[in-house]
Amino acid sequence: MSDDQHCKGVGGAGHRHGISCREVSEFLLAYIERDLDEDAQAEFDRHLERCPPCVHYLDSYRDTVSLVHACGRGELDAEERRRHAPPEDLIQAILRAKRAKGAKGAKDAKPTPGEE
Amino acid sequence: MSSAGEPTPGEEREIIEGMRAGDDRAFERMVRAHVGPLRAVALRLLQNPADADDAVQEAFLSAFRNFDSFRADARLKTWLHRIVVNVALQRLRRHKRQIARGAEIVDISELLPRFADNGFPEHFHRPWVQTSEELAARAQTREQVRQMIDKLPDNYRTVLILRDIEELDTAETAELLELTPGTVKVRLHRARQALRNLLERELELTH
Repeated sequence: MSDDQHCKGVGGAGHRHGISCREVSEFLLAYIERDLDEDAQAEFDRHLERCPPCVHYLDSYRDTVSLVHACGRGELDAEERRRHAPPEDLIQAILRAKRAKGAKGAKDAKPTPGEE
Repeated sequence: MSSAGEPTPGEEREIIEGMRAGDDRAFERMVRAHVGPLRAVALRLLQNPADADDAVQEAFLSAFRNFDSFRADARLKTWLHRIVVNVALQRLRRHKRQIARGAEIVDISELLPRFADNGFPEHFHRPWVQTSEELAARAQTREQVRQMIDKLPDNYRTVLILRDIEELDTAETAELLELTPGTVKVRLHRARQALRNLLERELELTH
């Protein structure tokens, strides 16, 4: 697509005012999280009003975030839950390990969480 | 208490009181109530059931040893979640090269949008032909999305998982990964951009 065709149908004025499509792409996260200052946020809005491809990009970026959120937790899927159900073996191993360490008492060691 | 699912607030109080009193049964109740979701978190980060099991065990032992640091106004689930994420990330850092990852890893730079010198994209974006709700409704697509997340390099994958799946904020993610908040934001943005591109291509989302 040529520059001329880029913004066809939205007044033909183009959008080479303020920010470019590259900047929209680079600063999209800051725009979505409203981290930009007021002027930059307004420039962004003006660009989007005139640039359908960037609007499509913004929409698909948001869809990606929604999809990751909806799909990422595989354990919420019934089938996945069955496949990855914590085995009783693991529970018993944790209880055995705790008994082995617990003989000394629960309050004799205070490493930071996660420390071995 | 039910054998699966989250404990009720009353059950959680009993577990906390029992843990403080050093009651073994309270520890077992805590393990049974939380092991499933914690194992899922560890599996997501480590991608290997044996490593995930080790991380979960280490996390519960750490929780047991450090129960004094559990604050009364916190939720057990949130506190345990942070511990297992921390343990899993430590293991990921330590065993970076040894952990076998089945998925092929993509080159993130090849999946970022490209632009000409004049700031215009090389490829103009078109609308997706399906909504995220339609896509997420299919089990097969959900699995494909998870597989695509697994193809991201670890530096990007972990940030994406912590922010967009585990729902940690930028500051928490930065602290756990020992990064600056700015780096977390850059990596999150690139991870989302790369994944957006992968999804569009693999799921054929444009005409």
